[in-house]
Amino acid sequence: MKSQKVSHIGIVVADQVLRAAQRIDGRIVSSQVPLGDDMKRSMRKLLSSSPFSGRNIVVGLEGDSVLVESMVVPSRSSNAAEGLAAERLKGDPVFNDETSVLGVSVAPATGRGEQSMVILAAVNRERIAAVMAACREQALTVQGVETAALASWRAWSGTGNQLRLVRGERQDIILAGVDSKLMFCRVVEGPMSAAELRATITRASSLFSGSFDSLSVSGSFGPEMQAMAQGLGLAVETTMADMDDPQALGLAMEGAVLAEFTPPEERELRTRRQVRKTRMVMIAAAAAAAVVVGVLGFQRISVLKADKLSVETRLRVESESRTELAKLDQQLRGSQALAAEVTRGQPGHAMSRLFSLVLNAAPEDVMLESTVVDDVEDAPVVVQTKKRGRRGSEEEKPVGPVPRSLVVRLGGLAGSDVAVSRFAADLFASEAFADVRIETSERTLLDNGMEGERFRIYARAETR
Amino acid sequence: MKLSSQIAITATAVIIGAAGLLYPIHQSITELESEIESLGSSSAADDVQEQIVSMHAQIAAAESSLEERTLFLCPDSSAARLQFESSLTAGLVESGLQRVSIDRTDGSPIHGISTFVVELVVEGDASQLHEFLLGLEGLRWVNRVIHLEVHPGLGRRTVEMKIAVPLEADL
Repeated sequence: MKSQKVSHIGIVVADQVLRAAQRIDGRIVSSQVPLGDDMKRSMRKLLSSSPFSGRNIVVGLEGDSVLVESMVVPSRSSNAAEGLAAERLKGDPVFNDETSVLGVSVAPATGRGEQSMVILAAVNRERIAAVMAACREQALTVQGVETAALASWRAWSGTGNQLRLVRGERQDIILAGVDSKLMFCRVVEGPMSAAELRATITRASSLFSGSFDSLSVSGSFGPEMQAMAQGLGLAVETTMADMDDPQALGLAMEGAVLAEFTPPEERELRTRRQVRKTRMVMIAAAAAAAVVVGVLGFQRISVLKADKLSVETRLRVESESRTELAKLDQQLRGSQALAAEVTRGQPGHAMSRLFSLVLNAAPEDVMLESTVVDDVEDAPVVVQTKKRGRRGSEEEKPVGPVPRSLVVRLGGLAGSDVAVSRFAADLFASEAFADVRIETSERTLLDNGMEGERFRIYARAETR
Repeated sequence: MKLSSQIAITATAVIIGAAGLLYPIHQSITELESEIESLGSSSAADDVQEQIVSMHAQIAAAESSLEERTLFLCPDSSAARLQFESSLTAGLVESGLQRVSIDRTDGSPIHGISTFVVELVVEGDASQLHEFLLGLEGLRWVNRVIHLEVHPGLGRRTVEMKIAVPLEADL
């Protein structure tokens, strides 16, 4: 949504009319309604007659309830100027100290030494009170109370010495100033004659002690006045066509307020509103920040909770993995132990091959009568180790697995002792036996009457 | 009271209110972060996973080698022992040896493995005995001839054999 640049609503309260103007995005919205007996009703009608925006208003008073005068005082002190201004109104039946509020604007008069130019403004107290009551009833926020005549200086900007004429239905205003500073103002009941305008310009020039090149005019400016201006050597400039109410527009514009008549209670209300607004802004900002931080915080919490769940899941998986690992480890040990048992239980020799080897090694003239093979356990290999202690006794410990041996005993008959020896030599040459010995070999008479050799051979083979 | 004082009081109240709202959130976040940190420090999941993968590989290798083997230990059961005796009897028949007697006893442990022993007395010649011994070595279960005695004689001889059979233990 595009935000609008909106000014306050400037409301001019004249004797018989209410006028308003507001600048919205560079566009001027204005309206005018008759002022009846019921100011509140007229105010409501005024604000609803045009598309005004907001409830902030600046009120400018105009007409019989307002007095504006310019004068030169012989002092640069504002207190002294205010004293002189108060002195000026003393005894005035309409604008005295009791009936009116006094406002003074002091500016040093150029080229006049210690003198100051003073604009004196006085507004009727009752009128201000009536306007304030109407504004309060309409729930309007009064940002300031001024005189409409002085506020019209802010309606448009200029540089250097400026002279302006603001023409209205019931009164005309002559304004003179330098840059944005208003220094002279005279309000004349309209319609002003050319002669009076000439006299006012001449007086302004004398008070101002400066010259003007041009006259800026808002409103109608007849041929007679044109001639008068030419006579004074002033170029006439007209303002923009849409500036039909410079007083209301000036009230709506930001700028220096020369004399403010806002009642103290209204100022207090304004301060309270300001405080309330600031509080609301702060609370809203804090609430927004808290919501944002809260949302981010809850997001962070949810992310952390997810992280925690993830870590817990990982730990659970890890624990299950460890259990599985232990099972697998046990399984592996079992498999490996089984394989080792099979290897351990398996003999390191083949009995069929040993039997075949013995038979094949026997020469033709050797006859084996008996064959005995025993697979026996060897004596364990032991080492002696000293026991710890005072006596230092020794004990024997087996080293490694107990080896086994094949003990072969062969008995038979041979043709000669040479044959027996050859048989034993062949057995040894087969490299199957670690030890081969002829235990007995003796000549004997065989049943067929022939001589032979009866023998016994011992052989030992290592195995597992 | 001054405008600035009122605004300062409001600001203080707003800050305290916001802090009161947000502090529990901050505390929750801190607690969760602390819990996650303590949980994370006790985790070594990568290491365990690597160990499991390695262990699976080792088990697969061990099982593969167990499956490839042709020899097994005889289960420690009566049925298995009878089955072994039947295999022996079949071997005798195949080799041509004639059974004289067969007996079964508990044997001494060999390399720490319990055994049972089959005592066999047969009759036959050398070639039949050789063939029987070959058949023994071809049996499924590990066995070893711990005693072989060929008695003197002519032609068919009497042969005594003690065959020890290692038994599978519960591992």
